Amino acid sequence: MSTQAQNIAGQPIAFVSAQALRARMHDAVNDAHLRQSFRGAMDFLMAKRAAQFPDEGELESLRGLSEAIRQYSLAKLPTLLEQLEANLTRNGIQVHWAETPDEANAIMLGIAQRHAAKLVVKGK
Amino acid sequence: MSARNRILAKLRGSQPAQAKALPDLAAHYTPRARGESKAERLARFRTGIEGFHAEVHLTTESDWPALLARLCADKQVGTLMFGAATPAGRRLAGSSVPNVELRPWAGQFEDIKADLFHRIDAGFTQARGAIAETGSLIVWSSAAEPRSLSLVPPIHFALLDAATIHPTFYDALVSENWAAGLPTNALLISGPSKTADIQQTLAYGAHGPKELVVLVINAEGDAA
Repeated sequence: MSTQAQNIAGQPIAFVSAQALRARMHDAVNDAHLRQSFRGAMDFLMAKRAAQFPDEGELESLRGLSEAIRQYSLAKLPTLLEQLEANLTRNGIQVHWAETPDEANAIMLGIAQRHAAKLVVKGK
Repeated sequence: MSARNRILAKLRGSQPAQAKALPDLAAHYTPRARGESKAERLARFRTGIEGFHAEVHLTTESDWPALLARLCADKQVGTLMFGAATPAGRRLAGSSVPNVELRPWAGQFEDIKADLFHRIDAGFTQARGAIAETGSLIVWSSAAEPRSLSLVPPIHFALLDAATIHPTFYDALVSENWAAGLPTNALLISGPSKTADIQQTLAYGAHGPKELVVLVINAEGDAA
């Protein structure tokens, strides 16, 4: 059900049809072991986070404040991006702009090739 | 038109007509200010960072090198690396630390990489300050005390002046005016390196030091 294509670096990418994806999703959702693992991991992470905010009023106030910061920043995004670029450049950081993931990958690949890079480390 | 201009034009095209009000951070933090003493801030910092398995030792400006020497002996530190170009580094270089080889950070990272990863038992740095609310050290790396010094060796000794403990991160940002300029790495360190990624089993020293030891300078006469 998959066809082969190549990404910009010439590596194969597998495309999965919508029908095959639905079948895979059905299998995954009904996998009891997987569901149990996810439940356990989510409960563990949610309990740990909740323990850091024992006061519900405090948590709600911080959430409200964070949302206001987010909305303010999104409303000013073009100006903030220009300010970020100016400050990054002033700090000696080179800024590239890419409209699509393919453009971003092409920029990174070009830089790696110019430096004859053999090994690239990626942070998670 | 460049990708940059297209991206910015697209964003400007979908901006809301009315600008949003600047969020009022002081309105959140000011009513919550505790008005606590230096000793209370220190106690809160200590409880927080000890909760994440860091060690805290109280000392004084005159005694900290001797305390560091005792801790090195207890932990069987054979080689201690430090930044010699800081006030604390100069003090340490002139101090007696029996049975410990004091290695000043010198030269480029590549020159000392092998030693740093395989032969240095502990790194010593100054902390810029700390945060009582979260029990976190504030460490700004610099050419004199590079990030690797606090990250790579298995033990990190950090020297902290109790007078530089802020109630919250917000207080640190505002009172120190971080907006005016930042280093390459501004770090908040709340304990030794740990991870529970694998089977939720807590393991120390996964991506950094196994032990974090904080030496807090608390002026003589101050209650702790």
